[in-house]
Amino acid sequence: MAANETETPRTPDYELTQRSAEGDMKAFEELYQRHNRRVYSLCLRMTGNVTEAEDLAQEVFIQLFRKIGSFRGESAFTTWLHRLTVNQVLMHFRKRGVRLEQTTEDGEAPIQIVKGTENPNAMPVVDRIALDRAIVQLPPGYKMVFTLHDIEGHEHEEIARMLGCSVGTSKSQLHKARMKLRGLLRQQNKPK
Amino acid sequence: MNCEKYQDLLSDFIDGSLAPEDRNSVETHLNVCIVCSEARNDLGAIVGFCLEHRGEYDAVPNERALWLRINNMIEVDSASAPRTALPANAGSWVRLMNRSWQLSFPQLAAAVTVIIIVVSLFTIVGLRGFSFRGGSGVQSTNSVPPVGAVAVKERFRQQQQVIAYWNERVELNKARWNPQMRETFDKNVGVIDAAVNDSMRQLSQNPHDEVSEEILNAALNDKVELLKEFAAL
Amino acid sequence: MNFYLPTRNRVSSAALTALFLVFAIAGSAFAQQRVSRQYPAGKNVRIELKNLSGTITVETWQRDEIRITASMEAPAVHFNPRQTETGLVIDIVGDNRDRRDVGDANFKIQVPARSSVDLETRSGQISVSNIQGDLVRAHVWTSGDITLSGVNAARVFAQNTTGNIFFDGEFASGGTYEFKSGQGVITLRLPVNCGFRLVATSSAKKISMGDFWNPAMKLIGEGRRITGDVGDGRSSVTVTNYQGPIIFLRR
Repeated sequence: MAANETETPRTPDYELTQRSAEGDMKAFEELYQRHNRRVYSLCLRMTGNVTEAEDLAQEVFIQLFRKIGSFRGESAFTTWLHRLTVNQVLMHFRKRGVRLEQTTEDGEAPIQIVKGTENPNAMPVVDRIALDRAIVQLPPGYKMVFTLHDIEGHEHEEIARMLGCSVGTSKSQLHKARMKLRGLLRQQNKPK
Repeated sequence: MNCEKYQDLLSDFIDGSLAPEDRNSVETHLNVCIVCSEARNDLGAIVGFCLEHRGEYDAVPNERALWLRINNMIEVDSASAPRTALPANAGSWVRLMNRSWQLSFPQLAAAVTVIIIVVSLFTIVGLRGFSFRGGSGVQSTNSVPPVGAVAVKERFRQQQQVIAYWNERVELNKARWNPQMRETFDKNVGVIDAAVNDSMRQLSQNPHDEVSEEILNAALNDKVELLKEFAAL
Repeated sequence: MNFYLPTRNRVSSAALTALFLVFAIAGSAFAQQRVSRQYPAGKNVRIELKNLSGTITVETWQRDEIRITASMEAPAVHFNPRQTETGLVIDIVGDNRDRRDVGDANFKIQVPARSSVDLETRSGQISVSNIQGDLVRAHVWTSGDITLSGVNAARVFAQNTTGNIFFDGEFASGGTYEFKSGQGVITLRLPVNCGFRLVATSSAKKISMGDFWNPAMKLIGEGRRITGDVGDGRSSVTVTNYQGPIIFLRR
């Protein structure tokens, strides 16, 4: 995949954003093609519902089009888009009356048994489908921090800025999220 | 420190963000405590798995349909949105089109005169061109469908793609509904379809019929929204 | 042939029927879950309700409180009203997502008159009376009548696909009013002195303006659309009916 990228040089994201800002829908479609999966995946992880995730992703790209003229290229486009996506997800939760800070307490979401995926090559504790199912069961606050840190690879300082919380809160939520996931994943190995 | 305290430090230990003395203390404890060591291994497996698979993303069930929805929404948006402040990097054409003009009376009179002269010139040239070509001009307009009709057909085609996508999603869920809900849904889709067909029939008779075009667009949008709503049921 | 049963058999048949009826009625009564909750409210609260199916009735009362009375067919329906900064949100659709058929949920909501209401259901009737707040929105995705009476709100939106829409109220100056149906009858009953800018479209070519007709109005598309101002034209009214009639009545 990396080889392909070097063989056919792509138009930089920044140039596409400039053209999109002038109303070039082809350029905007190219941005959509490049980034829709990442946006959708984050939405899906956070909502755990395909339809909701699609609607959210749609809203993200509409917002992106509205705001694309304000992208100055000071940070990577992916980081900027990611922040926009996170904001949309947060707004979505707020609209539904979900408060991230309330979910720091344990016991918000009852732990359910995560079914095994019967993958012979699965790791003893983690595999993709089981992990996704377990993430869905996390309280929203844990889910957000875990997704941003462990799945997307953001630093705590950045997460704290995005979520408007302290670095300490971000760290503490991450640890609790991991421990809760561990509990959820271990359930599947228990004999029924 | 007891095991609970050590386990609280495990995430920082795995992420490498512990101070050296704490790190040594945790390491020593892990060497002798099977419970904490197991917890470290489990958390390490989760973190390691995420790291290994970073950059792998789920595909949107139908990328094309989602794009069409976004594209349609943006079109509707830009058609209805009031003109707002432009970004600093907006192109000159965009700036020109978004500009509002305040002219004094002499400026306005001069502008109107220039427009009249230019339009007259183009009209004369155009009329000459038309008389040279004779009847072929009429024939060409007959053979090419009107721009409006092409746009309507294209929009209809695009909307049909979106409808097909959501319809598929609805069909997957339909088995779960009670018979009454299925009947109600089908009946109401039928009502919207009738409005679509009626507008299409009117448009085939008169491609410039704005009322039919508006009803067609509204009915197609209503159908998409209805399908979307029921796709989640 | 003798159609009369022997007396003893007749008595026992009647007793069995009565017994059956008692059990049937009692059974259905037990199957219904009835919940009533009350919340403190300011004068300008906003109620949002998203239902799956069933009737929604909104009425006003003198108290600064919201009372929700819900009767649900299936006892296991999740019903979790959430208080927000501005009012109350009831999301039966979201609370019961991915669950199988949960049956009808019928709501009666009592609110202060200055409230805004935003109501949505997949099917079923919506009835709102005497609301004087900023917004009244009633959306039935499929079949169900919408009745808005004594409504005097700045923004009113009513939409269904099949079923009638009846509005009896007033249009506020500068307000926005939209009514849309697939094939029901849309009736707007208004005071004679009310003023609005109208765009009414009925593919069925059945628009009856009654006393609100004036010669300055435009008929477009062979009578499928009427546009024009009534009175001072200070509010905006859009009425669309794909296959049914639009009727204006003078109060």
